[in-house]
Amino acid sequence: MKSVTIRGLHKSYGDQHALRGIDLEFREGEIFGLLGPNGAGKTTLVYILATLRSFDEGAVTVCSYALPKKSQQVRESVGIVPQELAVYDEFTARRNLLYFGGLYGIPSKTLKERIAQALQLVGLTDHADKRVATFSGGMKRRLNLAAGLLHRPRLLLLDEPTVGVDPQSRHRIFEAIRQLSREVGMTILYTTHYMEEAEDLCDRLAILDHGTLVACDTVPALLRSLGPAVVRIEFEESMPLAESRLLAQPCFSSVSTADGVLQVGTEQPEEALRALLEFARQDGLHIRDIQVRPPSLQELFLQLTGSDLRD
Amino acid sequence: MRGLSTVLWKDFLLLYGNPAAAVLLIVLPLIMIVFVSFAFEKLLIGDPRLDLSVVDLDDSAASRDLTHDLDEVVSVKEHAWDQDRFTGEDAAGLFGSGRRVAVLVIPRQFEERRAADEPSPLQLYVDPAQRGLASTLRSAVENRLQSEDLLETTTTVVAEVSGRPSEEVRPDVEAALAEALSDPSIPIDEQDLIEGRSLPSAFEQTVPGFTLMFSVFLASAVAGQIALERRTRGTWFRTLASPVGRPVVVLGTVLAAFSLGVLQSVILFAIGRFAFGMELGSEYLGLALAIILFQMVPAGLGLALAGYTDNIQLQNNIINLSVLLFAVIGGALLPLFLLPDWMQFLSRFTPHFWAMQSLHDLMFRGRDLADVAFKLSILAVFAVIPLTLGFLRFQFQRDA
Repeated sequence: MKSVTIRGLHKSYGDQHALRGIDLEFREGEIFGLLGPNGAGKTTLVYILATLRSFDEGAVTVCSYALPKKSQQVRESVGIVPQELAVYDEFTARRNLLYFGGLYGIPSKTLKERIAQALQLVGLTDHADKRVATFSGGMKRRLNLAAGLLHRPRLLLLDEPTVGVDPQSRHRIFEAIRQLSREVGMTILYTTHYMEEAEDLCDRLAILDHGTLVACDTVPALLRSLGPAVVRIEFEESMPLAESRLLAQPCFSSVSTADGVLQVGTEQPEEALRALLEFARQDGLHIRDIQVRPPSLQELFLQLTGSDLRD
Repeated sequence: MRGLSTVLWKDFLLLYGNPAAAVLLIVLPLIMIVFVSFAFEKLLIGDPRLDLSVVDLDDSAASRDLTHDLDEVVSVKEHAWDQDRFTGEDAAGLFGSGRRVAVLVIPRQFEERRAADEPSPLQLYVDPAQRGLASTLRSAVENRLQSEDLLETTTTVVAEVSGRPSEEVRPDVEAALAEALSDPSIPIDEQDLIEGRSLPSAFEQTVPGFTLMFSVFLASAVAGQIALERRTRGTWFRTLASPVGRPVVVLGTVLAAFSLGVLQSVILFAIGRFAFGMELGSEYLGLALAIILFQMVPAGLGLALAGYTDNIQLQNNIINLSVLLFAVIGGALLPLFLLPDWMQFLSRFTPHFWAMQSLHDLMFRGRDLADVAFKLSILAVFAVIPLTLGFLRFQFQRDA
């Protein structure tokens, strides 16, 4: 079953293209990661799914409801945890949750039960009646998550929910997300620019760059596209070898170059290393560092976009 | 409307839990009401005599008579001076603090010279910073001195015609002139429009004015709250992502601010009534309507502003300007008759004018609700226009 279907989605802000023909599908109950640097279009996509932004072209269906026609039904089915801390510092944690739950018309008794469950899920039961202004950043982030869960959404949109969070709170948030996916069957869209988070948490991943979808698959499948190993060489010189020459090598499955760093994915690490050293010798390049290791999302991102995610 | 009670509840808690709102809406206007009422009591309740410092260097019967006569047209503040001469430096010292506008000096030998029919000019020192008021003061003094001349001339003429000595006819002439001046041939018959109603006190002038003036600050509460939620908090996005519609979200903020405005008016009018003896008339429904309609204006102004800009600094600048400008032009800060004609004309384009006139009609002029219906209708237009603009703006915004 598809929870979300996106076809040919375009969105512009004046002359600036935020999304350029995105095609995506989220399966019910999966944790779907959306990876990309700042300005890639992640938040725009989240806001479109939450009915907070209109779109220029394309078709979007959320929980079987087509946007923008069925916006009201979509709002009933979707929960959002915005990047900003969407809680009131002036209120206690409980009062915040009473407010956000109240917006969905949940009966009072049910709402109180759900608030207790949500507070327990994010580990804030003991702080329920304290003013949010006294909370640490991590506690606020956890409350931010709890506020998006009270109406039991079928799709939960998490827009960078761990920005500026301490390791303990990050762990809590991860546990809560896994629990929601595993036990409640909630579909979760998780946007981040932390590779490790995406790798650790998500069933499937999409990589966005400048509003374009550059890859979408499970994490192992994406990593496999680089080959079982990655050879990374850092040169003293700023301009490394020409990519066209390297791609002619049969033992290189992928090649990327950036800022004096050459990276190749390969099925045969020893062959690849030998070939690279030979190229460097022929071109008179001086090597600063060599690494041979299993591929990571960082390398995948570099290969797909030509830049580091945190640039 | 779905979710309205939830949004309202949140906005009530945020607004009523903000001590700055109470200070701005209750404490500040109350301070202004008390100080302005006492400060301008003489002007507001009809005793506009200006203070005049008099330095009597002669200290004679004639100079004391003159001082006594002057006190009927200006408020004389006597200053004893031991020195032989009084200089401009001494005068500057007297009005240097801004407490006096002018100093009138009665020179030495004033009585002797008057008796000898020699000129004995009075010296008037005027504060250069208060020339406008000083000319009013000078006119009042001159009128008084001309009355004195009139008495002298008439006494001389009557003495000559009757062949009696001047000293003998003087008391009769003085009495006849006094009677003529106090009972002019064209009498003024003041009509009492509201029988039994005493003159409005200073507080009855200032309480309605300052209540209206300060309640415009509520526009900041509406515009600022919406801007704050939109710009710095994700709460705006989370609320709009719920099934509650956008107009309902802003309606909560508007209603909370409006209720606070009505509460502010009730509190200030109650303080005026019970602490300062302000009379409210008998048309309570009319007063309530005037207040309710007026309090919709700042709520609407705030909403309309929030619809067009999220810049809180810009919002506050516009609102602060509106507070002062509307209060001055609309007659909330100063009585309208003090304004020039062109400004009195402009006052009709402010909600303050219609609210103040309605309140004055009901409180002081003995009018009833039917009499002020037209003025209240105009006030309602001032309330509805910004509210409609604001709601339409939010209703038709495509993105959050």
